[in-house]
This record gives sequence, structure tokens and C-alpha cells, in this order.
Amino acid sequence: MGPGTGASVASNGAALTHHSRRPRWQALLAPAVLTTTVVLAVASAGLIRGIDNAAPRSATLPLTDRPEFSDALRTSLLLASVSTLIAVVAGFGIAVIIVRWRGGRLVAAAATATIPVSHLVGATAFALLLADGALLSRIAPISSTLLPPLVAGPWWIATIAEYAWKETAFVALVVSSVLARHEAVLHEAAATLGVSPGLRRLRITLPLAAPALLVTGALAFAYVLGSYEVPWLLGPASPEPLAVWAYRLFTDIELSSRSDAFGVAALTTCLALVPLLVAAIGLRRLERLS
Amino acid sequence: MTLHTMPVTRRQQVSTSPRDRRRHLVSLLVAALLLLPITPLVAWSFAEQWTFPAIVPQAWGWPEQVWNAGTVAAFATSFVLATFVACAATMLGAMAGLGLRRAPRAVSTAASILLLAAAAAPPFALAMGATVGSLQLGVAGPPAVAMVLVVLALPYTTFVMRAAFAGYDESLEEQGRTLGMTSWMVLRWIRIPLLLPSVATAALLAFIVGWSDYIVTVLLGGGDLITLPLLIAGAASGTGNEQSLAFLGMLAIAPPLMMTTLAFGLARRYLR
Amino acid sequence: MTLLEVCSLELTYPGTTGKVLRGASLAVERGGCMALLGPSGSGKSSLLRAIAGFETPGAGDVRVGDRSVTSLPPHRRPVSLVFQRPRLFPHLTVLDNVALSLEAQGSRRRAARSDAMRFLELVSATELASRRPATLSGGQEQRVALARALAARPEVLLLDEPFSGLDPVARDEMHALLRELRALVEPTLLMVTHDRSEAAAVADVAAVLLEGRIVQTGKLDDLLARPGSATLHRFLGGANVVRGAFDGRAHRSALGTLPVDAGATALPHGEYDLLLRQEALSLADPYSTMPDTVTGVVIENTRPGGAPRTIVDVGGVHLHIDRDYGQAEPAVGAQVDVVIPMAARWLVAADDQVTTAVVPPLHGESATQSIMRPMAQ
Repeated sequence: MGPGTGASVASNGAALTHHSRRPRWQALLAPAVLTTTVVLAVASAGLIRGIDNAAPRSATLPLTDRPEFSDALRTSLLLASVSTLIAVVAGFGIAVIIVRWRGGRLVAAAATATIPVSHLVGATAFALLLADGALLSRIAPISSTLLPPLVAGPWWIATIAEYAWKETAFVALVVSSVLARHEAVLHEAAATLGVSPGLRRLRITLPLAAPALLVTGALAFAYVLGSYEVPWLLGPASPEPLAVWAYRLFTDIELSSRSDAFGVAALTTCLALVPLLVAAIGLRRLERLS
Repeated sequence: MTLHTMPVTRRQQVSTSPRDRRRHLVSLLVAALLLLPITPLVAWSFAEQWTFPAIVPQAWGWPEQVWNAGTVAAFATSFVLATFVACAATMLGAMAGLGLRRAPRAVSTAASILLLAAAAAPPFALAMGATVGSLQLGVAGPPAVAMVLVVLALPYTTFVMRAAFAGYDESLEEQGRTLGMTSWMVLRWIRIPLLLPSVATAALLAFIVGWSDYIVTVLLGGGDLITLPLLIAGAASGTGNEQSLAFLGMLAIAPPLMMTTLAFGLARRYLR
Repeated sequence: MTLLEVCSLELTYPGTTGKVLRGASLAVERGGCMALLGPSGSGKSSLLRAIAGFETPGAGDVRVGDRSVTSLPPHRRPVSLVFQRPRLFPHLTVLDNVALSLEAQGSRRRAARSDAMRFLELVSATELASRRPATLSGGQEQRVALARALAARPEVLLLDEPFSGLDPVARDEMHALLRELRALVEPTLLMVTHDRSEAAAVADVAAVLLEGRIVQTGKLDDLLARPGSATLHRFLGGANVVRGAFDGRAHRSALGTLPVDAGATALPHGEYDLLLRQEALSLADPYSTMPDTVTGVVIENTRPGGAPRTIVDVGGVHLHIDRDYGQAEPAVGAQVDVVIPMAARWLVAADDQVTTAVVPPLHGESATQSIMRPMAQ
């Protein structure tokens, strides 16, 4: 908290008996809400404007009819689904390890160590790890005929691996902090009722973790959907996911491409709002439990 | 965590069954896997010569070629940008977190949705849209980038601070006052220590948003803003010097890593 | 027939000095209810947790029926523990909370849910079936916790001060419920409590855990009338401990010479403490000629825990006497006779260590006076 809030917060302390001096919620919320609204509004307006400034419509195919669009959509959805699925499943397992197993604190520390690593740096790390002739191929030389190229290969393996890596750590940390509150005492309660460890995991741990899994999964999905750096560095030249395609269009010399870029951006944003709704529902249920 | 929520089973783990030992081994394996991707960065940073198929570098050396004025400038630029984003987003987020708790239900739900939208909206779309507006408004380059990044960081700082205020026990302040503390003492001895860990976490998250960003800086920076991620992207998209690339990556990890350790040290000290 | 047997259980917590349990042993009859009494921190909860399987003892054995369960994990022991806090599963309804116990035993979901209703009936909580734990009161939660534990059909039910968080009215209701359940289902119960009256309300027998060991078991009345040590006597609320000597027939002390029925075993001569329960003593008119009396002067009239009590100085010893309701309060300074029935006189060896369980002296009080003062309830 900066000095500005400090002052108002200090007066709040003194104002326990003088409620009229307490900063009102309107004053507190206004700056953040205003800033966000301004930026979102300007961005939305810009996108719409950009779409309108199109070259004569008849000259080009509508955006959604082009083959690149379905390619991009499919690629982005695939990347997002696979990496989020891995992240949610592995993240849950790792969260259980963190909370209940011996050595859990070490795992939590390792997961935390991935937070300072941005996706860009992560992508370079994975390139140095998985590319042809890179570290992994030297340690475990598997013939390239058995496995397709991991980096820039048709299966997007390196890309998915990088996303899954970071998102798994994210999910694990959030879910473990949620579980840490209740898990141990409820586990004991279930054990003394004769509930076997497996059934405990299914009926107690998983339901408790579910809202957090939902929220983090939705956020991870939305992120991968709109992410640029990782597929740009680790993915093949084609097909392009939505963000990569949009960027190429945006930096294209042709003006019509530029407006197409805005169209793709707008579509991707709408798409990303779906997991947002899911995350909102998850948050509601999270609050109801605690 | 209170006494009641501390993991009870950990206390009596004097006897290690084979199952516990196996689990310990698995934990170590998982931790190693999580840290694995970082290892090539470390190794390559100091490998002057490391050709296929050697597992260990043939020659070690300091990456002199990277350590130049351009790198230092980019590092400094990133640092300034990230610090600004951290300060602004934490301040606004703390106020918003408190405001959300005090506001009526409908208002706080609407505000939460707005903030979630900022979190879910793809950054490249925000940046693209903002390029049109920023040109019109005459706010180009660094200020525009900073503003967008603050908005991208705001959902996280707000959520962290909201949770912090939810867990904050105001009766502790009342207790302090009945013991004769002045407002200043209450602030210094009760409020700040109790809220500091969360503030540190929020600031850390915001710093990372500002520090790590690539796409917004590229689209909105207008070529003036050379940050560390831009250097990295340039080195990564080209071929050749893996050592420079790895070292730049390490440089990029260093400040957030130090801050993460700091934040956790703070959390452990104050949340005992 | 003994159903639960604990044999010389030893327990240490890592990082603490000394043992929590130093060879604790007890036995509970099938269908019986035993109260486990002891001061705070004496290890009662730890003992229960060790029986349930949540703590690994350093030595000793836990047996249910004829088999040892010490090596079994908690979910495989025929033992169910009801915790101090209800620990209901927050994401399940009350009915599903109880049904989970039944499902754990192999019932299918639908059958489990209908059977669960029957257990809720047992605890008179059927109307709560579709509610969520967060909406229940403390008493309601513990009812459901009881039903859930019963549904697990354990051979032994362990209760860890389950009603300590409830208000007195709710607590009385729960005691009544326990008595009902005992009549209906005949479970075997071991209940930890620090409240003597709760033990008296619910249990057949009591065991006292002091300093890591079970020092005495038996009917509560027997424990009160014939405690094994002065420390135990004080823990159970006994207010009168008189140091003196026993010569084979009588106890000589500042009170005078009081004949004592030494019972079948002849006690060796020596120093003994005479333990007298304040409820067993009574006041008499000084000019009456009742036998078994000593004479003294009234110092104080108090109401510890609500019961009217008079403290009488007899030869320098302060005797505490609980008056009957309706008996007039004697004036301070007046001379009275204290009736000490033969049956109330109980001797214990005088070398009993006075532990830190004794209440520390109040301001201005001598150590002797603090020993004489009844322990806080």
C-alpha cells in the first residue's frame, strides 16, 4: 500500500469511533474500476473501429469463412483443452502431494519457483530442452523416426508441455492452499468412519478442490487461448493459433489484413469470455464453502 | 492457519513406513520434474561451447557478448516499468479490495465481473484495440503500455487484497486501542504487520505481470520501449547464440525470484 | 465381557520432553460406557486418538474383542471417533454425511441414503436431512456427527469431549440423547470429559488419567468415596485432606482421634491422609449429642459452583461441608458440630506427591489453605 492509502487507512483507524470519516466504498472502488473501464472501453472501441475500417468488403472473403480461421480456431481450442486438462489433473495430484505427503513442502517450493519464470522465458527453456540436438535429445537419444519433432512439430508437443508445466504449478499452488484449510481434519473424520483412502480422495478431497480447480482451469484455458509467445517460439509455422495469426495480420503491410487482425482479436476475446463465466460460477461456489 | 487447521498427521511421523518412504521419493521426483525445464537455462548460460552430442559443455565461460549497454538498458527499462505497475496495481487493488468488501452485493458482483473480464481478455487483443485509441488520444508508447499492464495486473492484486481484508480481524485493532495505542501505533504494530504478507504477494504478482510482458509492449510500445522480454524474443527467434539466450532468460528470472523468496520470507515471519 | 482393552500404551510427541502416555491401561465392557476423566493436557485426547489409530504408540497394544488393532490404519479399525468439533463434511448435506459412513461399508448410494434416515431418526434429526452443515447450530451438528458415527457401525464409539462447546441446555439434551441411544442401540462408549457431572450423567464407570497413566477406574461413586490418592481426591473435587497418623484403629490429627474402619486389609501404621468428601459431611447443632462429630468454629459460608458450603475451623484444620438445601446458614464465628460418618472416612498414604494439578494459593493464603480449598470446577 502506498502512502496515499496509508493516510486514508490511518484515518480509518482513528475513525473507528468517527464513522463519518471512514472512506466510503465508492471512493475506494472508483480508481480501479475507472482505470479498468477506460482501458477496456478504449480497447473495445479500437477493435470495433479497426474492423469497420476495412477495405471494400466485396474484395475479401469474410473472416469466418476463410480456411485459416477454422484452422486457427481448432488449433487454439486444441492447445487450450489439452494443456488445461493436463494442468487440472496433474495439478490436483500435486496439490494432494503438497498437502498430505512427506516431501510436500519441497514440491510446493519447486512449484513456487516456476512463478518467476514467464511464459516467454519458459518457452526458451523448453526450446533449449526439447529441440532437435538440445539437452533432452542428448541425454535420452530417441531416434527421430520414432517420435515427431517436439519443437515446431505437427503435434505441438513442446508448446503443450510448456503450457502444462506452468499451469500445473499454478493449479497445484492454488488448490493446495484451498485444501490446506479443511483437508486434514476432514480426512481424519472420514477415516474414523471407515472410509477407505481412495473413497476419501474421491468424495472428500476432490469435491473440496473442485471450485478451485474450476476457476484455475478456466483461467488457464482463457490464457492459452489468447497466448502469443509460446506457440510463436515453439510451434510449427502452420497452422497458426488465433493470437499468432492475428499478430501476423496486424503487422502485415496490407491494410485489409490489419482490419482482419482486429476481427480475429475481437473473436478471440469473445471466445475467452466463456471460460470467464465458468470461472465466475466457480468463484461463487468457492465462497460458499469457506 | 489456526491450530485446528494445521495438518495433524504430520506431527507423529517419527516412524516411516515403506509407503511413506515411497511417497517421499515420488515427491522428490515431482519436485525435480518441476525444476527440470530451468536447468538448460542455467547450464547454457555459462557454456561457451556446447555442441551435439555432448551432455556437458565442452567449454565454460561468462557470456561477455550479452553484457552490454543494450542489455543493461533493457533490464533497467523493464525494472522501472514493472515497479511502476507493481506500485500502481497494488495501491489500486488494495483500495478496490477494501471497497469490494464494503460495497453492496450487486455493486461488488458487477465490479468483480469487470475485473475478471480484464483477466480473461487476451492481452494481444487489448493491446491491438488500444493502439487505435492511444493514437487518437495521443497517449502513445510507454504510458499506454503501463496503463494496460496495470489493468492486466489489477484483477490479481484486487483478489489477493480482498482475501486479505476478509481474513483481517478488526477487533484486533479495537483491542490495541483499548490498550492505549494511538492510530499511528495501531497502524504500525497491528495493521501493517498483519497485511504486509498479502501486500507483498499482490505486489509480487503485479511486478511479474509488468516484468514479463511481451505482446503488449511490442504492439503498444511503438518501438521506443525496449524491455528485457523484447531482447529475449529477438534472440530466441533468431538462430545461433544459445548462451546469450539462456543468460538473458536467467536475467529475466532473477529479480522475480528474489522477490518471491522475499515475499515468502515475509509471509512466514508474520503469519506464525 | 471386555470389548475394548488398552494395554500399557506409551506415547511421545516428537519435539516435546517426556511422554504423553506412560503405560496407560483400561478396559471397557461390551455395552458399557466409560468416562475418561483427567485434567487439561493429561493426554486424554491423545489416548483416544491412539485408540482410533491417528497416533502411533511407542509401546503397548489396543485390542477390540479378541484381536489387536494396533497395526491397523484408522479406517480399518472397528472404532469410530467423534471429535470435539463436529467436522461435518461441508460440501454434503446432512443426509449424505451420514450416508457416506454406510457407503464406506459397501452400501449402494440409494440404500445408504434411506438407511441414513434411520440413523437420523435415532438422534431425532430427521428434519435436518437436506440441510447443509454450515446452517446448523452446534447442538444440531453434534447430533448429526453422532448419527454419522453410529452409521459406521463401530464396535466401540469414542467421544472426545463432544459436548464441551455447547451451552448447558444443549448439553443436557445431548446427555439425554446418549442415555436414549444406550438403551436403544447398546453401543460401547468411551467418552473423554473433564466434567464430573457429565460423567455422572452418562457413564457407568470412570477412569482417571493423571500424568500419563490411568490411576484408577471404577464406578464414579466408588472413585469419589474411595480415591487412590489425595491428588485424585482433589481432582475429583474433594476438599478435605487431613494429614495425620494411623495406629491401627484410629486416625490422629488436628481434628482429634477418629476411629477408622480399615477394612479387610490391615493398613500398616504410619502417616496417612484422611480424605473426607464435603458432601458426606454435615453440620449439627453443637449441643446435640450425635456420635462421630468434631467441634469447630464457622469461618466462612460460600457457594462454590452454586452449592451452599460452610468452612469450619477444627483445631486449625479447615473442613469444607456441603450444606443441604434448606439448611440454615450458620453465623460466622458460631460454634458448630461437624458430623463425620464412619463411612466417609477414607485413608490414603501420606507420601502422595502434591502435583502442579493443585490450585496455586490465592493472595494472602498459605499453602496449606490452598490445599484445603476445593479445586476449580
